[in-house]
Amino acid sequence: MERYSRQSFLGPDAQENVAQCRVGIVGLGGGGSHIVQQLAHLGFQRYVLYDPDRVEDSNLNRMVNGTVRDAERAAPKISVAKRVIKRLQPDASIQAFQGRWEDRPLPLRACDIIFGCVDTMAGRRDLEACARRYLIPYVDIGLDVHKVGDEPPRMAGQVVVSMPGGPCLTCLGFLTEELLAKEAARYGAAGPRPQVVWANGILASSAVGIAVDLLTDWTQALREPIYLSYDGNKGTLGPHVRLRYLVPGPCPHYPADQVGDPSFVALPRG
Amino acid sequence: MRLPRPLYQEALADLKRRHPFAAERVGFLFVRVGSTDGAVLLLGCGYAPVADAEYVEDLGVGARINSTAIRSAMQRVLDTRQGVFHVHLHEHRGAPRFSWVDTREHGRLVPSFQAVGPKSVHGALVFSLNGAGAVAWPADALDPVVVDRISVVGYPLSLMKGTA
Repeated sequence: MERYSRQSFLGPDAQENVAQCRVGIVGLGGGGSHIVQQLAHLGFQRYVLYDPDRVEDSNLNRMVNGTVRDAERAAPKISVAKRVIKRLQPDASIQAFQGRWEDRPLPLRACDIIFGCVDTMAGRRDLEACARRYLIPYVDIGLDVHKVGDEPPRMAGQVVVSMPGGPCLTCLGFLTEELLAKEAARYGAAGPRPQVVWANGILASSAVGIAVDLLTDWTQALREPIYLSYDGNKGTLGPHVRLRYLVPGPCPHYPADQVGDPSFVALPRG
Repeated sequence: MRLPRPLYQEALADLKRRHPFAAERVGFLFVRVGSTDGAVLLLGCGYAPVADAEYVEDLGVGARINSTAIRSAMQRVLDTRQGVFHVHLHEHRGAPRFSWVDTREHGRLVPSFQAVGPKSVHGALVFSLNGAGAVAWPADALDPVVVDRISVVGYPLSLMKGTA
Protein backbone atom coordinates (compact mmCIF):
# COMPACT_ATOMS: atom_id res chain seq x y z
CA MET A 1 0.00 0.00 0.00
CA GLU A 2 1.96 2.96 -1.34
CA ARG A 3 -0.51 5.35 0.17
CA TYR A 4 0.55 4.43 3.69
CA SER A 5 4.24 3.79 3.05
CA ARG A 6 5.27 6.84 5.08
CA GLN A 7 3.60 5.35 8.17
CA SER A 8 4.82 1.79 7.66
CA PHE A 9 7.09 2.20 10.70
CA LEU A 10 3.93 1.67 12.76
CA GLY A 11 4.33 -2.07 12.18
CA PRO A 12 3.39 -4.80 9.70
CA ASP A 13 -0.14 -5.21 11.10
CA ALA A 14 -0.71 -1.56 11.84
CA GLN A 15 -2.73 -0.66 8.76
CA GLU A 16 -4.98 -3.69 9.18
CA ASN A 17 -5.56 -2.83 12.85
CA VAL A 18 -6.36 0.75 11.93
CA ALA A 19 -8.77 -0.36 9.22
CA GLN A 20 -10.54 -2.83 11.53
CA CYS A 21 -10.90 -0.42 14.41
CA ARG A 22 -14.33 1.09 14.84
CA VAL A 23 -13.99 4.60 16.24
CA GLY A 24 -16.67 6.63 17.95
CA ILE A 25 -16.39 10.41 17.96
CA VAL A 26 -18.79 12.37 20.11
CA GLY A 27 -18.69 16.06 19.30
CA LEU A 28 -17.54 17.25 15.87
CA GLY A 29 -16.73 20.87 16.55
CA GLY A 30 -13.35 22.33 17.43
CA GLY A 31 -11.69 19.13 18.64
CA GLY A 32 -13.73 16.45 16.89
CA SER A 33 -13.30 17.99 13.43
CA HIS A 34 -9.52 17.66 13.76
CA ILE A 35 -9.82 14.09 14.99
CA VAL A 36 -12.07 12.97 12.14
CA GLN A 37 -9.75 14.48 9.56
CA GLN A 38 -6.65 12.84 11.01
CA LEU A 39 -8.29 9.43 11.40
CA ALA A 40 -9.38 9.54 7.77
CA HIS A 41 -5.85 10.41 6.65
CA LEU A 42 -4.47 7.55 8.72
CA GLY A 43 -6.72 4.99 7.07
CA PHE A 44 -9.50 4.40 9.61
CA GLN A 45 -12.49 2.87 7.85
CA ARG A 46 -15.22 2.50 10.45
CA TYR A 47 -16.81 5.51 12.09
CA VAL A 48 -19.66 6.25 14.48
CA LEU A 49 -20.28 9.99 14.71
CA TYR A 50 -22.54 12.06 16.95
CA ASP A 51 -23.26 15.77 17.05
CA PRO A 52 -26.65 17.44 17.33
CA ASP A 53 -25.46 20.83 16.10
CA ARG A 54 -25.31 22.65 12.80
CA VAL A 55 -22.44 24.78 11.57
CA GLU A 56 -22.68 28.43 12.57
CA ASP A 57 -20.53 31.41 11.73
CA SER A 58 -19.05 31.34 15.22
CA ASN A 59 -17.71 27.78 14.61
CA LEU A 60 -15.54 28.78 11.68
CA ASN A 61 -12.66 30.08 13.79
CA ARG A 62 -11.81 26.52 14.81
CA MET A 63 -13.86 23.85 13.08
CA VAL A 64 -11.53 22.50 10.42
CA ASN A 65 -13.18 21.82 7.05
CA GLY A 66 -16.19 23.87 8.04
CA THR A 67 -16.78 26.51 5.37
CA VAL A 68 -18.67 29.76 4.97
CA ARG A 69 -21.09 27.88 2.74
CA ASP A 70 -21.68 25.30 5.49
CA ALA A 71 -22.48 28.09 7.92
CA GLU A 72 -24.77 29.84 5.43
CA ARG A 73 -26.83 26.75 4.87
CA ALA A 74 -26.55 25.63 8.51
CA ALA A 75 -25.15 22.25 7.52
CA PRO A 76 -25.20 19.59 10.22
CA LYS A 77 -21.71 19.09 11.64
CA ILE A 78 -22.02 15.37 10.93
CA SER A 79 -22.39 16.21 7.23
CA VAL A 80 -19.10 18.08 7.23
CA ALA A 81 -17.40 15.17 8.99
CA LYS A 82 -18.87 12.65 6.54
CA ARG A 83 -17.71 14.77 3.63
CA VAL A 84 -14.16 14.84 4.95
CA ILE A 85 -14.08 11.10 5.52
CA LYS A 86 -15.60 10.20 2.18
CA ARG A 87 -13.14 12.38 0.27
CA LEU A 88 -10.25 10.53 1.87
CA GLN A 89 -11.82 7.12 2.39
CA PRO A 90 -14.58 6.59 -0.19
CA ASP A 91 -15.32 3.06 1.05
CA ALA A 92 -15.48 3.92 4.74
CA SER A 93 -18.42 2.74 6.80
CA ILE A 94 -19.96 5.75 8.55
CA GLN A 95 -22.83 5.79 10.99
CA ALA A 96 -23.59 9.43 11.68
CA PHE A 97 -26.26 10.71 14.02
CA GLN A 98 -27.40 14.30 14.28
CA GLY A 99 -28.36 14.05 17.89
CA ARG A 100 -27.22 13.02 21.33
CA TRP A 101 -25.42 9.72 21.68
CA GLU A 102 -27.65 8.95 24.65
CA ASP A 103 -30.59 8.73 22.25
CA ARG A 104 -28.80 6.19 20.01
CA PRO A 105 -26.31 4.41 22.30
CA LEU A 106 -26.16 0.99 20.60
CA PRO A 107 -23.76 1.92 17.76
CA LEU A 108 -21.43 3.62 20.23
CA ARG A 109 -21.16 0.46 22.33
CA ALA A 110 -19.78 -1.42 19.36
CA CYS A 111 -16.84 0.99 19.01
CA ASP A 112 -13.29 -0.06 19.86
CA ILE A 113 -12.21 3.43 20.88
CA ILE A 114 -14.30 6.46 21.79
CA PHE A 115 -13.09 10.03 21.44
CA GLY A 116 -14.97 12.45 23.66
CA CYS A 117 -14.94 16.04 22.47
CA VAL A 118 -17.71 17.35 24.68
CA ASP A 119 -18.02 20.63 26.51
CA THR A 120 -19.26 19.63 29.93
CA MET A 121 -18.03 17.58 32.85
CA ALA A 122 -21.42 15.90 33.12
CA GLY A 123 -21.13 14.97 29.46
CA ARG A 124 -17.73 13.42 30.11
CA ARG A 125 -19.02 11.52 33.13
CA ASP A 126 -21.88 10.00 31.15
CA LEU A 127 -19.74 9.12 28.17
CA GLU A 128 -17.09 7.54 30.35
CA ALA A 129 -19.73 5.51 32.20
CA CYS A 130 -20.91 4.06 28.89
CA ALA A 131 -17.36 3.36 27.75
CA ARG A 132 -16.44 1.60 31.00
CA ARG A 133 -19.63 -0.45 31.01
CA TYR A 134 -18.86 -1.79 27.53
CA LEU A 135 -15.07 -2.03 27.97
CA ILE A 136 -14.09 0.68 25.50
CA PRO A 137 -11.04 2.91 25.89
CA TYR A 138 -12.27 6.49 26.27
CA VAL A 139 -10.01 9.33 25.10
CA ASP A 140 -11.15 12.72 26.30
CA ILE A 141 -9.93 16.09 25.12
CA GLY A 142 -10.89 19.52 26.35
CA LEU A 143 -9.74 23.11 26.38
CA ASP A 144 -10.67 26.11 28.46
CA VAL A 145 -9.54 29.68 28.87
CA HIS A 146 -9.79 31.40 32.23
CA LYS A 147 -9.44 35.03 33.07
CA VAL A 148 -8.58 35.98 36.63
CA GLY A 149 -8.21 39.61 37.61
CA ASP A 150 -5.76 41.64 35.54
CA GLU A 151 -3.61 38.64 34.61
CA PRO A 152 -3.42 37.55 30.97
CA PRO A 153 -5.95 34.83 30.08
CA ARG A 154 -4.79 31.31 31.01
CA MET A 155 -5.36 28.64 28.38
CA ALA A 156 -5.33 25.07 29.66
CA GLY A 157 -6.49 21.72 28.38
CA GLN A 158 -6.13 18.01 28.74
CA VAL A 159 -5.91 14.70 26.98
CA VAL A 160 -6.92 11.95 29.33
CA VAL A 161 -7.61 8.26 28.81
CA SER A 162 -10.05 6.21 30.84
CA MET A 163 -8.96 2.64 30.22
CA PRO A 164 -11.17 -0.24 31.39
CA GLY A 165 -9.26 -2.15 34.04
CA GLY A 166 -7.30 1.00 34.94
CA PRO A 167 -7.96 4.28 36.70
CA CYS A 168 -10.99 6.27 35.61
CA LEU A 169 -11.38 10.04 35.23
CA THR A 170 -12.35 10.26 38.90
CA CYS A 171 -9.38 8.18 40.04
CA LEU A 172 -7.15 10.48 37.99
CA GLY A 173 -8.57 13.50 39.78
CA PHE A 174 -9.91 15.03 36.58
CA LEU A 175 -13.59 14.51 37.29
CA THR A 176 -14.72 15.54 40.77
CA GLU A 177 -18.04 15.91 42.55
CA GLU A 178 -17.11 19.53 43.22
CA LEU A 179 -16.64 20.31 39.54
CA LEU A 180 -19.86 18.55 38.63
CA ALA A 181 -21.75 20.45 41.33
CA LYS A 182 -20.31 23.80 40.19
CA GLU A 183 -21.23 23.03 36.63
CA ALA A 184 -24.76 22.03 37.62
CA ALA A 185 -25.14 25.26 39.60
CA ARG A 186 -24.38 27.41 36.57
CA TYR A 187 -26.42 25.27 34.21
CA GLY A 188 -27.90 27.40 31.45
CA ALA A 189 -25.59 30.34 32.09
CA ALA A 190 -22.33 29.05 30.70
CA GLY A 191 -22.09 31.53 27.85
CA PRO A 192 -19.76 31.05 24.88
CA ARG A 193 -16.72 28.90 25.71
CA PRO A 194 -13.41 30.27 24.43
CA GLN A 195 -11.84 27.94 21.85
CA VAL A 196 -9.02 28.36 19.37
CA VAL A 197 -8.00 26.24 16.43
CA TRP A 198 -4.32 25.77 17.23
CA ALA A 199 -4.89 24.54 20.77
CA ASN A 200 -7.69 22.23 19.66
CA GLY A 201 -5.33 20.91 17.00
CA ILE A 202 -2.61 20.12 19.54
CA LEU A 203 -4.99 18.26 21.82
CA ALA A 204 -6.72 16.41 18.99
CA SER A 205 -3.40 15.42 17.42
CA SER A 206 -2.18 14.06 20.73
CA ALA A 207 -5.39 12.10 21.21
CA VAL A 208 -5.07 10.57 17.75
CA GLY A 209 -1.42 9.74 18.41
CA ILE A 210 -2.40 7.94 21.59
CA ALA A 211 -5.09 5.97 19.76
CA VAL A 212 -2.65 4.90 17.04
CA ASP A 213 -0.11 3.85 19.64
CA LEU A 214 -2.79 1.89 21.47
CA LEU A 215 -3.71 0.04 18.29
CA THR A 216 -0.25 -0.57 16.88
CA ASP A 217 1.97 -0.50 19.99
CA TRP A 218 4.61 1.06 17.77
CA THR A 219 6.40 2.75 20.70
CA GLN A 220 6.04 -0.29 22.95
CA ALA A 221 6.04 2.28 25.70
CA LEU A 222 2.39 3.01 26.33
CA ARG A 223 1.79 1.02 29.51
CA GLU A 224 0.75 3.55 32.13
CA PRO A 225 -2.34 5.70 32.69
CA ILE A 226 -2.42 8.72 30.37
CA TYR A 227 -3.31 12.17 31.60
CA LEU A 228 -1.64 14.97 29.66
CA SER A 229 -1.91 18.57 30.72
CA TYR A 230 -1.74 21.38 28.16
CA ASP A 231 -0.50 24.81 29.10
CA GLY A 232 -1.53 27.04 26.22
CA ASN A 233 0.37 30.03 27.55
CA LYS A 234 3.66 28.18 27.58
CA GLY A 235 2.85 25.91 24.65
CA THR A 236 3.65 22.73 26.57
CA LEU A 237 1.95 19.37 26.85
CA GLY A 238 3.15 16.85 29.40
CA PRO A 239 2.14 14.34 32.07
CA HIS A 240 -0.24 15.87 34.57
CA VAL A 241 1.08 16.34 38.08
CA ARG A 242 -1.91 14.38 39.43
CA LEU A 243 -0.42 11.18 38.02
CA ARG A 244 2.20 11.34 40.80
CA TYR A 245 -0.52 11.02 43.42
CA LEU A 246 -2.50 8.28 41.72
CA VAL A 247 -3.50 5.63 44.25
CA PRO A 248 -2.47 2.19 42.96
CA GLY A 249 -5.00 -0.60 42.80
CA PRO A 250 -8.25 -1.33 41.01
CA CYS A 251 -10.66 1.46 40.19
CA PRO A 252 -13.33 1.62 42.93
CA HIS A 253 -15.75 3.58 40.76
CA TYR A 254 -16.14 1.00 37.99
CA PRO A 255 -15.84 -2.49 39.55
CA ALA A 256 -14.74 -5.26 37.20
CA ASP A 257 -18.04 -7.12 37.36
CA GLN A 258 -20.21 -4.10 36.57
CA VAL A 259 -20.07 -4.40 32.81
CA GLY A 260 -22.62 -5.04 30.09
CA ASP A 261 -26.32 -4.34 30.00
CA PRO A 262 -27.68 -3.54 33.45
CA SER A 263 -29.70 -6.37 34.95
CA PHE A 264 -31.27 -7.36 38.24
CA VAL A 265 -29.16 -9.73 40.31
CA ALA A 266 -30.21 -11.40 43.54
CA LEU A 267 -28.34 -10.10 46.59
CA PRO A 268 -26.26 -12.65 48.52
CA ARG A 269 -28.18 -14.28 51.38
CA GLY A 270 -27.50 -13.52 55.00
CA MET B 1 -15.63 -10.59 23.10
CA ARG B 2 -13.78 -7.95 25.07
CA LEU B 3 -11.41 -8.71 27.90
CA PRO B 4 -9.78 -6.07 30.10
CA ARG B 5 -6.03 -6.59 29.87
CA PRO B 6 -5.59 -7.23 33.62
CA LEU B 7 -8.15 -10.04 33.37
CA TYR B 8 -6.47 -11.47 30.26
CA GLN B 9 -3.09 -11.38 31.97
CA GLU B 10 -4.51 -13.01 35.08
CA ALA B 11 -5.95 -15.86 33.02
CA LEU B 12 -2.82 -16.31 30.92
CA ALA B 13 -0.54 -16.31 33.96
CA ASP B 14 -2.63 -19.00 35.61
CA LEU B 15 -2.88 -21.16 32.50
CA LYS B 16 0.89 -21.07 31.94
CA ARG B 17 1.62 -22.62 35.35
CA ARG B 18 2.70 -26.26 35.30
CA HIS B 19 0.39 -28.75 36.98
CA PRO B 20 1.86 -31.67 38.93
CA PHE B 21 0.40 -34.21 36.48
CA ALA B 22 -2.00 -32.61 34.00
CA ALA B 23 -0.51 -31.64 30.65
CA GLU B 24 -2.29 -28.29 30.65
CA ARG B 25 -4.43 -26.12 32.88
CA VAL B 26 -7.98 -24.96 32.43
CA GLY B 27 -9.94 -22.12 34.00
CA PHE B 28 -13.30 -20.39 33.86
CA LEU B 29 -13.78 -16.93 32.45
CA PHE B 30 -16.98 -15.14 33.32
CA VAL B 31 -18.78 -12.72 31.02
CA ARG B 32 -21.72 -10.41 30.92
CA VAL B 33 -23.61 -9.56 27.77
CA GLY B 34 -23.78 -6.14 26.14
CA SER B 35 -26.16 -5.29 23.35
CA THR B 36 -25.15 -3.21 20.35
CA ASP B 37 -26.64 -2.59 16.94
CA GLY B 38 -26.59 -6.00 15.36
CA ALA B 39 -24.02 -7.80 17.49
CA VAL B 40 -23.77 -9.17 21.00
CA LEU B 41 -20.79 -8.19 23.10
CA LEU B 42 -19.34 -10.66 25.57
CA LEU B 43 -17.62 -8.63 28.25
CA GLY B 44 -15.13 -10.37 30.51
CA CYS B 45 -15.74 -9.69 34.18
CA GLY B 46 -13.90 -12.36 36.16
CA TYR B 47 -11.65 -15.39 36.08
CA ALA B 48 -11.61 -18.44 38.32
CA PRO B 49 -8.65 -20.82 38.25
CA VAL B 50 -9.11 -24.51 38.90
CA ALA B 51 -7.30 -25.71 42.02
CA ASP B 52 -4.59 -28.35 41.62
CA ALA B 53 -6.63 -30.85 43.62
CA GLU B 54 -9.60 -30.53 41.27
CA TYR B 55 -7.75 -32.11 38.33
CA VAL B 56 -8.27 -35.78 37.58
CA GLU B 57 -5.56 -38.01 36.09
CA ASP B 58 -6.54 -38.93 32.55
CA LEU B 59 -3.91 -39.67 29.93
CA GLY B 60 -6.50 -39.38 27.16
CA VAL B 61 -6.83 -35.59 27.43
CA GLY B 62 -4.63 -32.60 28.26
CA ALA B 63 -6.58 -31.84 31.39
CA ARG B 64 -9.65 -33.27 33.08
CA ILE B 65 -11.27 -31.57 36.04
CA ASN B 66 -13.65 -32.98 38.62
CA SER B 67 -17.23 -32.15 39.42
CA THR B 68 -16.29 -29.82 42.28
CA ALA B 69 -14.59 -27.42 39.85
CA ILE B 70 -17.55 -27.53 37.48
CA ARG B 71 -20.10 -27.11 40.30
CA SER B 72 -18.19 -24.07 41.53
CA ALA B 73 -18.46 -22.42 38.12
CA MET B 74 -22.13 -23.38 37.89
CA GLN B 75 -22.79 -21.82 41.31
CA ARG B 76 -21.31 -18.51 40.17
CA VAL B 77 -23.49 -18.58 37.06
CA LEU B 78 -26.54 -19.24 39.24
CA ASP B 79 -25.67 -16.50 41.74
CA THR B 80 -24.64 -13.78 39.30
CA ARG B 81 -26.37 -14.64 36.03
CA GLN B 82 -23.00 -14.27 34.35
CA GLY B 83 -22.05 -16.48 31.44
CA VAL B 84 -19.04 -18.75 31.73
CA PHE B 85 -16.38 -19.84 29.25
CA HIS B 86 -14.17 -22.85 29.71
CA VAL B 87 -10.68 -21.61 28.87
CA HIS B 88 -7.31 -23.19 28.18
CA LEU B 89 -4.04 -22.31 26.48
CA HIS B 90 -2.22 -23.71 23.49
CA GLU B 91 1.38 -22.67 24.03
CA HIS B 92 2.30 -21.57 20.53
CA ARG B 93 2.08 -18.38 18.51
CA GLY B 94 -0.54 -17.82 15.83
CA ALA B 95 -4.21 -18.63 15.61
CA PRO B 96 -5.22 -21.37 18.08
CA ARG B 97 -7.85 -23.97 17.20
CA PHE B 98 -9.94 -26.29 19.30
CA SER B 99 -9.05 -29.95 18.98
CA TRP B 100 -11.77 -32.51 18.32
CA VAL B 101 -11.45 -33.57 21.97
CA ASP B 102 -12.01 -29.95 23.04
CA THR B 103 -15.12 -29.75 20.85
CA ARG B 104 -16.48 -33.03 22.22
CA GLU B 105 -15.94 -31.96 25.82
CA HIS B 106 -17.46 -28.50 25.32
CA GLY B 107 -20.58 -30.15 24.00
CA ARG B 108 -20.84 -32.06 27.27
CA LEU B 109 -19.97 -29.19 29.56
CA VAL B 110 -22.03 -26.29 28.24
CA PRO B 111 -25.48 -27.86 28.86
CA SER B 112 -24.63 -27.88 32.58
CA PHE B 113 -24.06 -24.15 32.47
CA GLN B 114 -27.18 -23.59 30.40
CA ALA B 115 -29.15 -25.49 33.03
CA VAL B 116 -28.27 -22.95 35.72
CA GLY B 117 -27.97 -19.90 33.47
CA PRO B 118 -30.41 -20.34 30.59
CA LYS B 119 -30.47 -16.63 29.77
CA SER B 120 -26.70 -16.25 29.75
CA VAL B 121 -24.17 -16.89 26.99
CA HIS B 122 -21.69 -19.70 27.70
CA GLY B 123 -18.90 -21.22 25.68
CA ALA B 124 -15.27 -22.08 25.32
CA LEU B 125 -12.19 -20.00 24.77
CA VAL B 126 -8.68 -21.02 23.76
CA PHE B 127 -5.69 -18.74 23.91
CA SER B 128 -2.40 -19.04 22.08
CA LEU B 129 0.54 -16.91 23.12
CA ASN B 130 -0.66 -14.10 20.84
CA GLY B 131 -4.09 -15.12 19.61
CA ALA B 132 -7.45 -16.43 20.74
CA GLY B 133 -10.45 -18.35 19.51
CA ALA B 134 -13.86 -18.89 21.02
CA VAL B 135 -17.22 -20.45 20.44
CA ALA B 136 -20.37 -19.32 22.22
CA TRP B 137 -23.76 -20.83 22.84
CA PRO B 138 -26.32 -17.99 22.81
CA ALA B 139 -29.12 -18.30 25.37
CA ASP B 140 -31.01 -21.56 24.90
CA ALA B 141 -29.06 -22.43 21.71
CA LEU B 142 -28.20 -26.02 20.92
CA ASP B 143 -25.33 -25.20 18.60
CA PRO B 144 -22.44 -22.81 19.09
CA VAL B 145 -21.42 -19.84 16.99
CA VAL B 146 -17.85 -18.70 16.38
CA VAL B 147 -16.91 -15.50 18.21
CA ASP B 148 -15.66 -13.33 15.36
CA ARG B 149 -13.37 -11.05 17.30
CA ILE B 150 -11.64 -11.08 20.65
CA SER B 151 -10.27 -7.77 21.92
CA VAL B 152 -7.89 -7.34 24.79
CA VAL B 153 -8.63 -3.87 26.10
CA GLY B 154 -5.73 -2.04 27.68
CA TYR B 155 -2.23 -0.85 26.87
CA PRO B 156 -1.92 -1.94 24.07
CA LEU B 157 -5.35 -2.57 22.57
CA SER B 158 -5.32 -5.92 20.73
CA LEU B 159 -8.02 -6.66 18.19
CA MET B 160 -7.71 -10.39 17.47
CA LYS B 161 -9.70 -12.14 14.80
CA GLY B 162 -11.45 -15.05 16.48
CA THR B 163 -10.77 -18.60 15.34
CA ALA B 164 -12.34 -21.86 16.39
